[in-house]
Amino acid sequence: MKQFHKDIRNDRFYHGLAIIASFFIFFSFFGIFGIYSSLMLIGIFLYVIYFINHLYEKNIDRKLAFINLRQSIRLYPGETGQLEFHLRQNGWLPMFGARLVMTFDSNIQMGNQSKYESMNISTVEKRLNLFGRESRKISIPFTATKRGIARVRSLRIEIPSLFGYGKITLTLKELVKAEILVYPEIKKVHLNHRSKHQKMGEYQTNFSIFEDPITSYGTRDYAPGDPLNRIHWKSTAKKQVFQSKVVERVNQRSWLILLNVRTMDSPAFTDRIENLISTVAYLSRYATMKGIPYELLINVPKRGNVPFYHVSNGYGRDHYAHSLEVLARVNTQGLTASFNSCLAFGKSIGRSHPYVFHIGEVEQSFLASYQEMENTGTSVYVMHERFQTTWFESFKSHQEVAK
Amino acid sequence: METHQFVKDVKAEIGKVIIGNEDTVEWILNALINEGHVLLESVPGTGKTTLAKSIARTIDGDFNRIQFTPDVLPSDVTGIHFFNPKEQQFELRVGPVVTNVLLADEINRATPRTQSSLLEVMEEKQVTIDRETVKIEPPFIVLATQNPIESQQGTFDLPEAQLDRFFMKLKMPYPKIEEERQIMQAHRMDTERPIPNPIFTKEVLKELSEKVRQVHISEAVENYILDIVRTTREHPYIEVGASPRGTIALMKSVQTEAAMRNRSYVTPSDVKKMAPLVLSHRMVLTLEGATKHNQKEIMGEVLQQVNVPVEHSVER
Repeated sequence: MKQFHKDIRNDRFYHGLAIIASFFIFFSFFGIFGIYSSLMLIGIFLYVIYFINHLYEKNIDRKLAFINLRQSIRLYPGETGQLEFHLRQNGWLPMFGARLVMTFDSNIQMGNQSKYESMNISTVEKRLNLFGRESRKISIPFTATKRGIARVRSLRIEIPSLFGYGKITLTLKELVKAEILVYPEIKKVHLNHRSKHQKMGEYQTNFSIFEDPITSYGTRDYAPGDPLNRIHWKSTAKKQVFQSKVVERVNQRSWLILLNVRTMDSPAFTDRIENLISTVAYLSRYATMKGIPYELLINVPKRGNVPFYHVSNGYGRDHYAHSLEVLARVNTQGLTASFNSCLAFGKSIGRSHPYVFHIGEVEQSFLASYQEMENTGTSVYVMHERFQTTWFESFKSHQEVAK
Repeated sequence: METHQFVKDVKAEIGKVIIGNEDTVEWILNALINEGHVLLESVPGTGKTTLAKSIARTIDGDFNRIQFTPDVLPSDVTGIHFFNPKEQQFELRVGPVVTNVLLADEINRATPRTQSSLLEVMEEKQVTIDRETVKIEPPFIVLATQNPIESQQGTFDLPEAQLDRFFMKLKMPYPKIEEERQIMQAHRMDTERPIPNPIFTKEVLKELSEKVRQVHISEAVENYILDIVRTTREHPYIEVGASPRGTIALMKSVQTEAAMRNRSYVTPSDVKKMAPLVLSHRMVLTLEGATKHNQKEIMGEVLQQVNVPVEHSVER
């Protein structure tokens, strides 16, 4: 199957070429020698040009292959990258003076030549010469300008016809499998949260009043007061002395980060969305560096068991990368979901998190849910912004300020 | 015995059980000749355990397997002193680690404490149990398998020190279409799969290992290895670069690679081929680096940066 859709545009002279050639040949029959035979030669010559051009137009894309390899490039704003495409002409027909024209999302800037077509789409052009039986790598450098996903929306090759009487446009039928993910900027936030070990959980720690009876890591001699179910019978049999299991000390120290993307009492995205996303990115980074597990909920709808953008509880570098990817995929041109339903889901999972961070507008309807969380021992922190400074306050002090 | 011929024989033996994955088999043999430990990682169902078992069977020696679960204790791996009431004294009962080939299946399901119990034995080929040290007779090889850390439920990342002790970390790819067809056909009838014969005797292993050490490494290639290692320590996306243990492992692996190709000298392309397998897992990426690239991609960048020695000049 051909990869390109072909559109041929010839100018009027080209269409007239065949008529002129026929005209010359027709008149050449009125004489045998002299000027008349020259007319015939010119006619045949024009016919040959017409015919070769026709063949060229018909066959130029027959064996042309665009190697559509999957590319996923991840960058932070301001960083540069390079998109690479491979074009292979398996036939003998060359392309001279062709132009590769690409449209792409405008959160990346391709070279200096890119032009804005509309608010979100830009175009870039590149000169292209390709001989027959030749393969060429086309590299297009770009700079990431703002958070989001950039894809090549269309790719076409404009080839001038062989004798310059028109233009062949080959438009790639399939989607270009290249995706550029621009992560959000990370904005520093003042975080005066203190880690308290209030709840039993599953994260191993050196000091905690809680123990996980399942994760034993060794045995020691039995001491009076050790419960019977702590005795390691296999080890006792081996050593012939009562042995008690030594288990890991655990606590709960994970975060639940809730991002409300809506403006107050409206389903629209807030104007401060980029700022809020940067704050979430900072919290994720901070948690990763401190080894704190976290879960992320954003009131942007999606299909699936959890009907919102959701990063399940986890920690480490891969988890952080996944969180940044989800944040990069928040499309401000899309829909938002009700934060109350998001909060209801958050409440159901929030019991396992001792800390909840709220980012975005706080509406009156959220307060009861947060108060309920506080009552069950969860510490809720609310984001505040003033004079380009962002900080978190505990829910209690937030309410006092609100009063 | 010629190394390349021997490798061919072993591959044929393993080929009785494992269809495809020839490169992986070759790389594991490279590690075995160097008495290096191998970590196999891939998604479930690609034949990691079957391959590890088949390789283990080709080695003529003791074979033990530990199926790691979160409740395996360090003493279950290394061994314990127990009181013998008949003799009225403590006796040593060594763990499964005292063997020639240890298959550590699903190693990342064990807790970090249990994983750490392998640190001494993997490097020093000895195990200390309650102040008593037990030397392990060579060869000692750990073949470990793990699933990629996608979901963190019930799995624990291997610590860096442990990863550094693995000679190679290999990712097993999905089989090609034709290979998968053969696998399908082989499993159509529930017949018992053949077991490879043990052909890697201790003597053969020693002989091969000695032969491989004779492979010549020119100064230019030596400098190339050092440049690669140094670049991993200076790359902006790498927090911890390759260790000197990594340098030694790379040198040994390229010598073996050359011997397996029936050459008595190492070429820069051997280094280029082996570096991602031997060094990638030893590097710790920065937070920013980890969000943009994986270790293999960074290793590719490092190899691009370092000048490759050529006969008359230096070419990038």
